[in-house]
Amino acid sequence: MNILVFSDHFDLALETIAGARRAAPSGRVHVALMDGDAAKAIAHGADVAHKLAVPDKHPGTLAKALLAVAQAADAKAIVIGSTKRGKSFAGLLAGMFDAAYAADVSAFGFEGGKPTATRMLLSGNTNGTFVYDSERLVVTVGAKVFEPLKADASRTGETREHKAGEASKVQLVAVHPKKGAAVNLGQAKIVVGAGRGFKKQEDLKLATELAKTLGGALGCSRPLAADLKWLGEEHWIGLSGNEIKPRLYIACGISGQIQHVTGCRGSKTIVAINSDEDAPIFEHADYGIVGDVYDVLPKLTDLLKAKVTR
Amino acid sequence: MPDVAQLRIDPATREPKLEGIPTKVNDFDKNAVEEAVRLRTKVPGSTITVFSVKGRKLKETVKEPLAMGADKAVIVPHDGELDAGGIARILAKAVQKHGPFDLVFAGEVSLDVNAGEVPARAAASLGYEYVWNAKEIKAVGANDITVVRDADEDEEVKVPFPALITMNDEMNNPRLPALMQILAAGKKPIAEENLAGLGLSADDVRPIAKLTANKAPKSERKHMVLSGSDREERLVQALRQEGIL
Repeated sequence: MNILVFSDHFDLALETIAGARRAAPSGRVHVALMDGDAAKAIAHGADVAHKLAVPDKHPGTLAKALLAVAQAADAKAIVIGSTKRGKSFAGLLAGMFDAAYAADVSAFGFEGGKPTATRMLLSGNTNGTFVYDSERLVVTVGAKVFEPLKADASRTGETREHKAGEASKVQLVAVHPKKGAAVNLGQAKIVVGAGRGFKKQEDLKLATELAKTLGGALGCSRPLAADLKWLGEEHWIGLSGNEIKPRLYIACGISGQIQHVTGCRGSKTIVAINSDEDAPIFEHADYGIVGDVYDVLPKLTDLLKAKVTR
Repeated sequence: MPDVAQLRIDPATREPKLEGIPTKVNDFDKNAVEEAVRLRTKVPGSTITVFSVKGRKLKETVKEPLAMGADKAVIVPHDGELDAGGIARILAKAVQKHGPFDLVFAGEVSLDVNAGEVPARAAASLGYEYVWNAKEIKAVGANDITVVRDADEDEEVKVPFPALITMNDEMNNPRLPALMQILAAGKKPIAEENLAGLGLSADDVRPIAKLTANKAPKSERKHMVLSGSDREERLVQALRQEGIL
């Protein structure tokens, strides 16, 4: 059984190749690349690299292009990297491919010829495993769900050119850079998250200072990004924001609604600092301090500075 | 969707206790209704129809969007199980029957499932242009709409009708209808459809997704609460000992 993978972010494409290899050990893994290194994709486990030339990146164009590659590859499953571009057309592609669809899976595969997938349900309260009465499957896969396979330069594969058909009737009028500094929470090794425990926007400097001292990135809970707009959406940790998987996550003044926990659950170690001892975040923390962020954070930052400069 | 805020997990089985959980209109669907109501003021003569599928309480469900300003509703009650594919097929048929429409607005995802499968599949069935996660409507012409959609950068795109556009709470803040509007909503027309009337058989909407397990993830956290005046020092010490710092 063959699987086609695609991501517009090359690192994620390599991770999805690893996921596809696991789901179809004996099948052929095809990768479609808009840009990115075909030889490198083959070294990391792909059997066939399709260099995809598309007239535009509108959902209809990408879905039709991937559908054509999947049909040429005789693929039973299409794995799409869950980037914004990937999400913009994956569901549409599932409809066109007459396939079962599972977004942001933690696992997928085939059992007795039937597609299966595991993903979160009920806003992250549970993980559900599905078996689909279908021959085909489309899934999206987020960053760091699969580890890329080790590069093996001796692997050989095939490279094909694939030119997609007609352009979309949708017109790209302008591209506006996102407001706010670029921050990539998904890749950060250490993240400090700020929540409603901060009373004023300027007080966030306590969290910024801690993050800076640790060499980490600043994140926040939903209210700070969506309601108060103290920080841009790129800082938002949660189900509708970013999913983070750092080595260390320090949640400061964050109560721990399930949507937030879903976004930080993949952190290796979680520290929670909150003045409310009943805050749900403590149920999800390795270390907890029941205290006010205004007391705890300056002390913590000073201690860490001392350790760093010693 | 179920009101997830009221959900409890059985600690013994780690399974969700779904019985008796009230349902509510998905928050992002309200953003879609709100944007339609705002757009109508800019395009005289346009009307807004709300579509709702599944369950028995749809007359109740559509009251809120009608009170927000939609003109009429089409409901397709269905007692049996439906998955996203079935819902999308029903919606597409209902939209075709009650159209033509220039624009279909939908919530980007439902907040419980967070997949956005229904609008994407409905767009595929209808053959409409599909825009995922629009953040702003820039302009509406006679035959097209210009929106800003979410991508690595924000992309302003001009999309020809008919189009299906999804959106979330970055688009607007949905209004809370006043009492008068809630009362008036009770008088707005609601058309009730069924599968046969839409040219669909039970087999056409048979669910393909079978949920074989649904459990809360195991929490394997240490749950160590540090107290005392040296708690910050002990935290740093513990993190260093574990090699995290």
